[in-house]
Amino acid sequence: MVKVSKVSFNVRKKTILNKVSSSFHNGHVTAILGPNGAGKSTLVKCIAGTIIPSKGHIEFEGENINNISLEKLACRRSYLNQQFNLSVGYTVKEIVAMGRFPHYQIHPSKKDNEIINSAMKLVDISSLSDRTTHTLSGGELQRVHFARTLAQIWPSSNEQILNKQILILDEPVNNLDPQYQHAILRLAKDFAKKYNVCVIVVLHDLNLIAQYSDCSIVMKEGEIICEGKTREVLTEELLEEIYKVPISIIKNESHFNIITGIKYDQLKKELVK
Amino acid sequence: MTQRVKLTYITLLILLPICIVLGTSLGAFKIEMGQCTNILLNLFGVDNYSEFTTSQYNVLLNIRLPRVFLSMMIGAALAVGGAALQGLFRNPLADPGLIGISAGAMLAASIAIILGLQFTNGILGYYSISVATFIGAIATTIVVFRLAKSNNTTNVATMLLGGIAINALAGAVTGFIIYLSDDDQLRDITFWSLGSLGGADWEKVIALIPLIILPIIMIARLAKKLDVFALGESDAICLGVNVNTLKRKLIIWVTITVGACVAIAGMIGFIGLIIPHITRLLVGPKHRNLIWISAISGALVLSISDLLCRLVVAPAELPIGILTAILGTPIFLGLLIQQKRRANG
Repeated sequence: MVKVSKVSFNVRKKTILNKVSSSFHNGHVTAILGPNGAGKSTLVKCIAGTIIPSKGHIEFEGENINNISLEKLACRRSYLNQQFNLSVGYTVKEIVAMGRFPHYQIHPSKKDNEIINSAMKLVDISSLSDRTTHTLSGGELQRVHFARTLAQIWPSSNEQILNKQILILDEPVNNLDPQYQHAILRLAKDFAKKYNVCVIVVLHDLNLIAQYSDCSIVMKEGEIICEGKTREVLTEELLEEIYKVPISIIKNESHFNIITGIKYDQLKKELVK
Repeated sequence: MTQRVKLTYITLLILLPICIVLGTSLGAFKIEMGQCTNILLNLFGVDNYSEFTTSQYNVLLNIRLPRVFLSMMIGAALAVGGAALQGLFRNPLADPGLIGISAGAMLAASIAIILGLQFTNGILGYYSISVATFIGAIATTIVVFRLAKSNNTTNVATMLLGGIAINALAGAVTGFIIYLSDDDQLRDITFWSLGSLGGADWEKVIALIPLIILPIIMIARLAKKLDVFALGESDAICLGVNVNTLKRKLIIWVTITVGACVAIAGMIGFIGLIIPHITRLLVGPKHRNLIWISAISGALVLSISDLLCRLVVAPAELPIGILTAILGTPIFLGLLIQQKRRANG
């Protein structure tokens, strides 16, 4: 479990995060949503440990992340950034292999190589293996880095499954076509269920959130304004308030769809016409 | 290790002894290739003393051999320094000059020359320019590093900009010193700035060994981390790399080794920029191969350049900086054109 306690983050005098507290559970996919500039990416950066909160602290399984060494932390949590550096000249396989970096000393073991190949196969990039990264499209590059992120926390033994890994994804479906948007989020959800991983994902697509997340955290202006089970949290009133657009939600036992930009009654009239 | 990498290692390691034999046999004083090989074998206990004269033995052992070793060590250090900084700045155009090493060294050397420190008595007088240069190189790098440091983190972009500013300032002060200098001092400063391995002796070789071998080994040990650093700082942190320690270690080792080279041989440009770049085109960007192959290639290229410097205008010598640029540019451009053609299919 990841516990965030009264985390604030300021840049000069501007408050980006204001005393944010929440918990993220193992085996669940927790989505963070909110308008641009709400502080979603800053919160996941704090959880990933790439920036240090101005106040407050973050715990992994009851241990303050400041007390966990970078090497140990790297074996337990992986983070997919929103932006990628070009890292010119490296091949796809070399980039994915970097995900296993925290797990070996000089050369990757046989098991590490198996994991690298499995991660590439899962994300459907095995055929790109020897291509250099600057020859890839934006979507292909996104999948390569997702495979690297998966390889990093891929359990190499049963012991590691008990170690409760954390997968943090910041807008993982950027540049992806619908096929791969679903494929990647399905994989993240499978990881959560199969390996008891705590998955934290920042997403803008409300339908993907509705379909793949167990819990949701709604943020606005650096604060959490609502959190809980996704089906309960995502209401028309709340979403209209934060996004300032008409929103319709159609849900029953098996469906949970969100339409943005139009109210359901108006849509019905249009359809009848 | 791929076939291509293995082949590159084997080729370079075959070329290395060939370069030593060529470097020690060719020159104004005649030593046949066979005699040279015999003298070198003689050093390893194979006794065939009769086939060469004592003066040939002395020239080879006390003048040419230390010079070949010195050029090889300096070439290796400059190339590795360049490879490390290109990794740190994540930019294949970076070279040790960017963080102020060369400009600081140049300024310090000019001050030492204009103050006439090399004519003072004793050991300090003999080595004054080298010592001043080494201190100058390290001092400017410390200033650049300090400028880029805030809240315990080092901003690489600020370091780059700070380096440019300090380079400009040091260049201006050096210019002012040149303006003040007389004709002899001006000649000394100009020749120093063009680089030379003319003063090579065993003392310098021995003094340089720890300052070159140790930093190269230490930089090579950071190779795996440098690969991850190519992904960007935040990804590197997430993969367990303490990026601030990595930056600090790289800057320290590069400054020590490049500073020592500049102190002994003056300004030798292009090796630090071009050798890692060519190596990257040959064997790819992975730093474990990049650093070691750059080291061997740098050693080869500088020793060949030094040999040509001695031969082209024998018995006089060309400053080595001129040769490295003349040799490096066409090779570099050729590889760039080849790469462009390959990319265009």
